[in-house]
Amino acid sequence: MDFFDLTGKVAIITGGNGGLGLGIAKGLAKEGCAVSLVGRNQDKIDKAVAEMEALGAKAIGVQCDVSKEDDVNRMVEETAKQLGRIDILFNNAAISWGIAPEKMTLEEWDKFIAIDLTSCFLCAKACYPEMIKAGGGKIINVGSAITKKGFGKLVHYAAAKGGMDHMTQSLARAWGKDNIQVNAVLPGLVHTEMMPCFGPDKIGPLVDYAVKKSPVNRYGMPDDFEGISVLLSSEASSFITGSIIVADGGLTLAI
Amino acid sequence: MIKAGGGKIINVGSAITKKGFGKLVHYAAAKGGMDHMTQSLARAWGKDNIQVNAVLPGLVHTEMMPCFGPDKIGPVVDYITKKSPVGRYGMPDDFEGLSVLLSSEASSFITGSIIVADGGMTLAI
Repeated sequence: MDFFDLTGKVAIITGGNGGLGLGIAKGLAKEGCAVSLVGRNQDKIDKAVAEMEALGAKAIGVQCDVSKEDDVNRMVEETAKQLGRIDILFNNAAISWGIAPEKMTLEEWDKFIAIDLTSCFLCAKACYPEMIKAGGGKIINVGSAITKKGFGKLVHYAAAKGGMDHMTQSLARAWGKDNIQVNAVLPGLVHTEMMPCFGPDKIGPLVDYAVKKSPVNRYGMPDDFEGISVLLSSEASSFITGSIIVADGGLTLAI
Repeated sequence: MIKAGGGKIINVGSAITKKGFGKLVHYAAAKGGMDHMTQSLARAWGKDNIQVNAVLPGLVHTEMMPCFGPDKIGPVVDYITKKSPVGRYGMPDDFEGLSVLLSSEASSFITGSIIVADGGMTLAI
């Protein structure tokens, strides 16, 4: 038996309509997993679903603002209805841009925390009954290696992601009895729309510095996360829970 | 590994480095050294396409730590199993998946990472 096999399993991936989320979806689909790609932008969702279907994967798209409880509950209900069950949740959706903390308004802060942190609680809570029905589950929180170093203009993002790390540990303890394993993956610099590492929008000095310092001497690509995502979604990780796994090419050690 | 064009080093440490244990100061010190060797080796040999990571098992049934059978270390095993989020001790085959990941190209962007694989035990004791 292939212990990475995900045939018959269903995964929700928030922010699955692009970037890292779509990379994760492709990895899971290679192991036979059906995926629900969740995002706000319907055009991006449609494109991502088409891309998945072209690869022969079973994929649906669900539009949702993950910071809104009603919307999250509807998204989970719709996924369970269309795909039959929910086994795996990737809390991957996030927004981020730099603002000096002394210039940030409370409204801005609340928005970051709602989308980057509260959303993870809402999605986990909404998926919990479905995972119980399925006899267990896997929750993977996509955090950030920023929680190992800090960054002056991303205090809000670091706080949200730090909350996520510790939510991971405590959720693992809360729901271990239900055969739900909860882990976090902390990417470093990865080429996505949020952080373009090449092309016209490349964030030049930062990318060049990180690549030069990094032990692997490159930035990440979404497909770098296929392997770890499959591991943490499959039976192969049934003895791994509450773990916070840095996957940054060694960057945070080297800067 | 240089001849091979790169390599993978996986240090099998111990989740003891997350908690400590009074009668295993020597073992904890050695394993703590391993964690930090992992990070610095990752930096030293990244240029050679060698990725270095550590896996930290918790309680796993082995000859060193029998979790069942006549040599079972009773109170420790029962206590940990009860406290652990996964409600069990590990078996050697629990480490197949993670070992394959860290040995394969699928982990080419993972280096210097210290990965606890203990069923959540160190969080819960």
